[in-house]
Amino acid sequence: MLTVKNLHARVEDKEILHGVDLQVNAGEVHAIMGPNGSGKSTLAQVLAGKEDYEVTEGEALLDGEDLLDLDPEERAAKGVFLAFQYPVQIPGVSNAYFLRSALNAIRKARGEAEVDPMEFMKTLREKAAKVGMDDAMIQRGVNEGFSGGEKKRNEIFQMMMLEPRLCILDETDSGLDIDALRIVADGVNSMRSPDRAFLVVTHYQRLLNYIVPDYVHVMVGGRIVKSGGRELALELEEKGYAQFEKEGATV
Amino acid sequence: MSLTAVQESHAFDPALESAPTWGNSELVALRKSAADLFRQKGFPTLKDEEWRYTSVAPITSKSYVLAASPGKTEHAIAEKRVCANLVVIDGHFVPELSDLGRLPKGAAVFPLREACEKNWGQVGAHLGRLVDWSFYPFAALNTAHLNDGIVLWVEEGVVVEEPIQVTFVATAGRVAHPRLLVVVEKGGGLQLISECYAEKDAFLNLVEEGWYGESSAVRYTRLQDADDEGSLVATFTGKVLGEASVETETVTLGGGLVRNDSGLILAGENIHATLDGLYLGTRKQHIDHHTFLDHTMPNCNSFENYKGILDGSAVGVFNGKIFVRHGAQKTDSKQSNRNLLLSRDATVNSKPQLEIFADDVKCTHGATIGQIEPSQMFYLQSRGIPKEHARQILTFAFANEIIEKIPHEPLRKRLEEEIFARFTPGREET
Ligand SMILES: Nc1ncnc2c1ncn2[C@@H]1O[C@H](COP(=O)(O)OP(=O)(O)OP(=O)(O)O)[C@@H](O)[C@H]1O
Ligand SMILES: [Mg+2]
Repeated sequence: MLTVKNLHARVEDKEILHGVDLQVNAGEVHAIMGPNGSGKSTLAQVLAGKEDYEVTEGEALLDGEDLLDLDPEERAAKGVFLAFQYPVQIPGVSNAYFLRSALNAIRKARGEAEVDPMEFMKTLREKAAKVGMDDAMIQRGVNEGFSGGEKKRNEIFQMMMLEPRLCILDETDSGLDIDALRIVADGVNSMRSPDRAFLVVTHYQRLLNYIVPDYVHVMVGGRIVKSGGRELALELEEKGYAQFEKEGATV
Repeated sequence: MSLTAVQESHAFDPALESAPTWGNSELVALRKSAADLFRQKGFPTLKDEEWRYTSVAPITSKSYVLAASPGKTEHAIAEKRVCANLVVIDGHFVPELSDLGRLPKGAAVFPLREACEKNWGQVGAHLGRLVDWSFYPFAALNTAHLNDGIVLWVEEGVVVEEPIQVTFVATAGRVAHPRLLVVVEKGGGLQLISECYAEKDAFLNLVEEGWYGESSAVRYTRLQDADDEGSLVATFTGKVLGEASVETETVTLGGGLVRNDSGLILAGENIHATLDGLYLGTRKQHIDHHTFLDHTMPNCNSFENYKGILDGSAVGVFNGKIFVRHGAQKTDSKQSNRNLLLSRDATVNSKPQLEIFADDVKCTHGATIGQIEPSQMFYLQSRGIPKEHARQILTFAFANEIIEKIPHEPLRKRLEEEIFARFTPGREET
């Protein structure tokens, strides 16, 4: 589904990604772990289309089609979704209105009809309930005054509503209490399917007990320096990143 | 320099000689002293501190007709009516277009002229006594022409549940100097909506006085709009007594030149007052809000939140004065003026002006001038919303903070639609 080859990206004069390679197939769950500042969020945001980053080399393909030339909204229409590490607040735009606009925009881009408003509200309520969001929260401004954990649940709620094919979760587990962690994991697990893939950025092996990955990658210094099965996460938990830091530092 | 020259050689004849002459000796004297003052001071220039950023050339470079009867208006009175509605066109109350609805006993509405003639005792004690026309040249000009308008009176303890709407229009090529006088006595309640519109080549010069008694509760929404070739000057002063709550918002949708001098005098204790505003400017429009909140007594709070959205090469001006007089301890006052610029050529001059003569007070103010937040844009786009639509949503959201406070639902809905549509992609505003 997603093929990333030798991806280099920079901000202003500073190169952050120094050649990332990654192959994610439909149905798979990939975890990316790595020390602070190693470029995990940068990779996630480059894939979602954030303008601040300039790709200088390499490519990213979604089902063989170039992603990097598309606007963020076009990527969303093709099924790319990023759950942000730091979701922004948008006072004055209700969650409900925001999601309906998003869903309709995606449907329009795919040549589908707009959602039926009644049907939409029904689905919205059902899915919101699954992540513990009530009516008042749905009607509030997007992330307006939400706690850290509520924002993360809202990201998962949006993912459930938009039903993307490639779900990129950037530290969605950070700052969650144990119940919220379970809610987030259940949300992801309920969406696992043979034609959907997940790229999960996390610092904690704990999340991977709930969302069991097929592959684990270690990112250090803007590169994926090691890949393996889920046991790699356990190893990292024990030994830390010291063993890879040298490799990263040479870059 | 050239602007001053334009102002000095104006086409606008203030027509002080053709001002009305009816009324008792007090009213005649009131007009005369205002006329004398205006003759002496004339139109303000850019050298005048209060007019530094606003040239009155768009007003004075035109000539207008001071009409003896209301003209035909292009303004959609019926369409914009959201409740009981009183209409004043070209400075004359128009009974045919007005509909009073049902007013409870103890609340009354009169055309100003009729009120002056029948009940000068009460009217004369309030008319022209609140707006300090020696400080506001256009209020002096209005007072010199004092003729008609609306008087709204709510007696002690009477709460008017249904909102009342008053509409002031100046039709093409005309000048009008209407008045609005509102008196809410002790314990009274009122929800008021006013709407002003100046058509092409018209000049609407409104003066409003609001007397809000002890423990009264007043909710006041003001709407303003003008043609790109029209001018609107509105001078509004309210005096609030103890324990009262007065909440206002002024929504300016546009206009060639719009100038506001709005303020509340807090003349009692434990008052809650809000002075909010939203102004939208585009093309070459010029929108100016000068405001004041005058804390004269202790233990009052005031909140002021003005937001501007400027496109094209529009100019916004905000000047917010807050006075905390000697002895007005425990004053809690917050002022905010945020502006969103949608184009490179749009500009804003924002100036807070705090004058504090008491020591135990809490006063904060803040002003921002900025563009749409890129991280918010990216968030919406990453969810599939196209760039232009995302801009529309975020621009509307900025405005909505003020709009959503409007209590009257039909009006709020009308404005939501109107303002949202204004930011529709492809509706190029240059
Ligand atoms: N817009 C930017 N401007 C300047 N530097 C940036 C920018 N974005 C990222 N960086 C830098 O790039 C590096 C990688 O950042 P990134 O956010 O991708 O790390 P991360 O792996 O997600 O870290 P964490 O685990 O702390 O979230 C950091 O050194 C960061 O400071
Ligand atoms: Mg990160």
